Amino acid sequence: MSKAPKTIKPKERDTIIQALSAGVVPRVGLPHIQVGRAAEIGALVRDIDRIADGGAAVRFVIGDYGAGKTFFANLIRLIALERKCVTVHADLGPDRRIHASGGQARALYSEAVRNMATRTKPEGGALAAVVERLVTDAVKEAGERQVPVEKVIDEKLAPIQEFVGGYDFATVLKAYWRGSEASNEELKLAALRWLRGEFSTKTEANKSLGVRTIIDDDNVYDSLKSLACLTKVAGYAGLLVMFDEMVNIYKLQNAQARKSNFEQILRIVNDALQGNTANIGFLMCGTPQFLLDTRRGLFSYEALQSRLADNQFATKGLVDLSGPVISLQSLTPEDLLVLLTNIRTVFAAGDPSKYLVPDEVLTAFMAHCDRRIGEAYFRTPRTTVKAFVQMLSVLEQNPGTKWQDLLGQVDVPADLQSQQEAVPEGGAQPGDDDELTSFRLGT
Amino acid sequence: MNSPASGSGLEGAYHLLHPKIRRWIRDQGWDELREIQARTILAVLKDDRDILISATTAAGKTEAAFLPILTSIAERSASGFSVLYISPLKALINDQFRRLEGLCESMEIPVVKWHGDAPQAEKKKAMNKPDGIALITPESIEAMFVRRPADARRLLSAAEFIVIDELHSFLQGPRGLHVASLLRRIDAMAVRPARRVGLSATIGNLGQARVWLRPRDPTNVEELVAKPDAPELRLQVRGYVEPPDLDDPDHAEGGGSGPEQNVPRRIALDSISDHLFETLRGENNLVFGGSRRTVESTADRLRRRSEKAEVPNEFYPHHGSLSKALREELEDRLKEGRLPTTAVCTSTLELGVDIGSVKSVAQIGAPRSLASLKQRLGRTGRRRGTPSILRIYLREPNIDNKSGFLDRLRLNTIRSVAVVRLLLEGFVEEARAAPEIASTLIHQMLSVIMERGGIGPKPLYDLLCGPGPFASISTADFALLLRHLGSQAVRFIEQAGDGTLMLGQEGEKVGQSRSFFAVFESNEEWRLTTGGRTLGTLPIMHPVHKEGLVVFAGQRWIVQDLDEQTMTLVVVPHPGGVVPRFEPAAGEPAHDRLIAEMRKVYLADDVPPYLDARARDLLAEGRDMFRELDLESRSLVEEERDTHIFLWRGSQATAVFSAALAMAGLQSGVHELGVTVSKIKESELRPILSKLAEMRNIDPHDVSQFVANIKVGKFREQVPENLARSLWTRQNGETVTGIPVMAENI
Repeated sequence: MSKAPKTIKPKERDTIIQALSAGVVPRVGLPHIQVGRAAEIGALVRDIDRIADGGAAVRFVIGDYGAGKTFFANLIRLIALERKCVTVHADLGPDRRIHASGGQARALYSEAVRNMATRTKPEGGALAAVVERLVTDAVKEAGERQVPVEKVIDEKLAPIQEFVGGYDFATVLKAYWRGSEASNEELKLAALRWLRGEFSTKTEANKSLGVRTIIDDDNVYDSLKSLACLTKVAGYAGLLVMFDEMVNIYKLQNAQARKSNFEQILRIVNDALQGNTANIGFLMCGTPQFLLDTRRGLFSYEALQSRLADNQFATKGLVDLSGPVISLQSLTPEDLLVLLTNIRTVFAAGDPSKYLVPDEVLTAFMAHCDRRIGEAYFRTPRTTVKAFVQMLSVLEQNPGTKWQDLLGQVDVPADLQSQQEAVPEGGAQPGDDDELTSFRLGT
Repeated sequence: MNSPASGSGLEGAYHLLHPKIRRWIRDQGWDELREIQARTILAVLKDDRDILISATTAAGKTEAAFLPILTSIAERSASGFSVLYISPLKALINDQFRRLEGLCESMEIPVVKWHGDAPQAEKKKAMNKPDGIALITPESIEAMFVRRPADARRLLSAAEFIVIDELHSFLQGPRGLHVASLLRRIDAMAVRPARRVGLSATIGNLGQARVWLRPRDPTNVEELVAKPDAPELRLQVRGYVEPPDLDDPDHAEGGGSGPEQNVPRRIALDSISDHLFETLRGENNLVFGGSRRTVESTADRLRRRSEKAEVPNEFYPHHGSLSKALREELEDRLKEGRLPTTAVCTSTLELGVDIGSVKSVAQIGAPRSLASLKQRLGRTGRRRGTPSILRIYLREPNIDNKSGFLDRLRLNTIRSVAVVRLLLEGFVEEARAAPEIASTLIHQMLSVIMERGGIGPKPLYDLLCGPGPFASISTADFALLLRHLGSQAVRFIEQAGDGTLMLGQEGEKVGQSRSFFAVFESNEEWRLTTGGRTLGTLPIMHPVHKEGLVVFAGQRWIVQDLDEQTMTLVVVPHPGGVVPRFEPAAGEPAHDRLIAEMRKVYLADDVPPYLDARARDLLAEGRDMFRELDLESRSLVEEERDTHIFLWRGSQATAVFSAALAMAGLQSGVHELGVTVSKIKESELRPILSKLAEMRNIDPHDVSQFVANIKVGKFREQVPENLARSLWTRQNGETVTGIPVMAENI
């Protein structure tokens, strides 16, 4: 997979290193470090093409903590941006989920739309640009055809009006246009707030924009569909929606709440697989437990289990990437070696003469990890990468340090997303906590 | 001494208050602040410590706390409640609401009632714009944590003061553990923990209350104790003896089957009711009946007497199984004071619901708890210059040639005298440590998992354990408990791949039920209705069938219809009656000091003037028996095939000793003064006791193996046996170490 070295911009380089050493996925420059998983990427790229062609897609990216789900999904997202899609993404959490009645679904939607990205605005906050582009085009077209702008907007948005609540999308966009005509920033902002799902009451929205509905818990999916249509009208290829940390649904402490979320997911899956929706794709990342657990995972919901179950022939290294579930395979030792090589290249900004360590260090480092945590480090590259980046950072900032001395100190813990909680007064008693930090209910 | 509030510094207190509060005080026509009020004002406004106010009911504690607190929060603009007032009773909240409403309105500080029966609209308004004061029950706080965690944070985390009313009622029992845990959880989400202000009746051990109020730093709690203004106490103890062969001292009048059928015999309760009827009519009084059954049976008798005498009935029952409407009707009637009213009640009217002052308090059955008696007494003599009046009606069994020594010792009479002696001495027992630790911890673990949507084991431990209600739980105990809760047999919790603890299948069921919010148990119950009006509830184990008879709410009914689906009984009035059995009677424990005092009463020969003639006779009979058995020097007494051991210790030590005997292979039953070992002679018992006396290194854990029903509380079924035993060991260890000495003294 390694290609001829090309130079890496300093800003990109620093962003990558900072992110990796914190154990998170960089927002830019992913292709510089990506290794393996070529087949999976290929399948997703075809999905994106289908979205752009007026089709739909849904994928569940399943992998253990630290297996690189987020990395993978972000890579796909960047590819989607390259191919003129608009992307929105959000992590699920205790207060953000797909179905809810207490505002948590709206919160997920708002977070996702705040993160809206386009190729020119890959870092998010692109909603205003998308809307502006749509409105500008409409104004231009209205001028050419000598018709009122509002009529053009209505025409353009005709497909949206078929969706639940779609009528108000048009109303809001017209309000935005009036706002820009009259230099009424307040009105423009209100329109964007409405599109981001930031109005919490209908009265308030009606007062500001003259609409009767708001984007709320019960129409989040429909609003995403409308949004997809809007991006298409604005001249983009379509909308890719990425939901990460789906395990939060599995973690819901109420069977009914889980079921309602699964019902919503089933709608998304059915619509996508049956071709009921257009220009929209969903990418949902979660752990194997989220998928497989028959008490609280997706598989606890019969209709989803039958649609998402593995192809029974795809075992022992054989893969079938046509189903909606993509199980991230472990990286091979070769993949990992390439990954470390890529990281070394990033540190050197693409210049082989500036490599901080010789090739032998890469293999020595892998051998060290193998001794420390065994084969698990193939499955969860996050900690391995983090440790490696930190080691290189020390070498870089302390010229003269010997890598041999550092290697022995490298600690690669097993990947646990242990939650850091606020400790109440008098809570923590250091020293007596070992039993609970690593506590596991017996098997 | 100085007159109230004129001591050094205290006169300044008034001027520290907000001008609007000063105007309110003038409008109330108060001529001065009471001393406790002035001291509290200084403590709240001139200092930043936690505060514990201890004073008798009606000493103005609530105003003492709220006047300066309102002053302090008057200018506050932050979102979220400024003050949480936590009270054990909904009725008390309604009361406080009425008292605060006007004052708060004039200061434009919102105040909201927040409990299960409070109006939804007001709660909703407060939910949208949380501000001011929330008067709330522990169960409503729990419900908020579990059902609306985000709102809980928004509403509760910015409080500056948390006022806990009737704090003494939280010092024992699972509910106290529960509230303490909730306080800890509120602190955990607060940026700056709120100051805590505890309002307590006069209690035996203020240190305990300080530790409860701020477990982390009890020394930083300022104690403000009101000088008691003890009114004159008028006291009478009246003795009654039951007829022979009585099975049920609380049966309905006219019922019960004596040896000669159809000839109703008069039992003690009949005569007691006669006396109550004669003496109490025309005034407001409280009659405490011990159990709901006694209350119903007595109220029924008093109503019948009113009917027979063709006078309006003024006796009504009040207990936890009666509908809220009936209870409130009675409370209002007492408070209004227009019609003379006597409430026959259980401990429901012991806590500080405002019912005005009553002329006298009567107590059916000899009391055991001084703390509780003092509370009850605090209901009378509240107007200056009026005395407190207390009547104790004690019931003793009939003595014939079949009667045992214990009956002949006249324990109820002796105990009544002992209680009065301690009352006059001013003794109040300290609170007992609640044994429901593990059960309550399970409840809180489930609650936090729901609140946080899953949590790791370590953060869960740190949040709940440490100084506070679960201080005795080590990490090892906690891990043991987690494993048990996660086991296939329990399935309360399960664990995600990242270690997060989540509710298991059974945990989800428990967590979803409405009864989850309370740590006390709520059993399934029949609902009694008549003419579309709910009278109250009957325990499920009460046998019901069509045309069954029942005495309830002081009236007699026949079951006309029952609906098993909705658990409803439709009843209509009927002349016949059977008094239902309610809760299994949990005997109040006796303190060491009380039993020691009983011994002194036996040894003394004074005849207290407050005893009536019959009670005097009973006292003499008891003392005679004591002397006859030579209990001054003897501790072992054979009776037929059994042997009594007289320990002269309180309930806890006696129970522990009984467990130690079980360890030595002896079956024994506990009684007031010690234990009775069955089928053994003194000569056989002696060597075993000597062996016990030599066990200087007796291991409490070994003894715990012989304690029956060691798992207690709502979730006792889910408590692992070993944990229950080791918690018992920790609570009773000291007593166990005392066993050899107890055995030696016999």
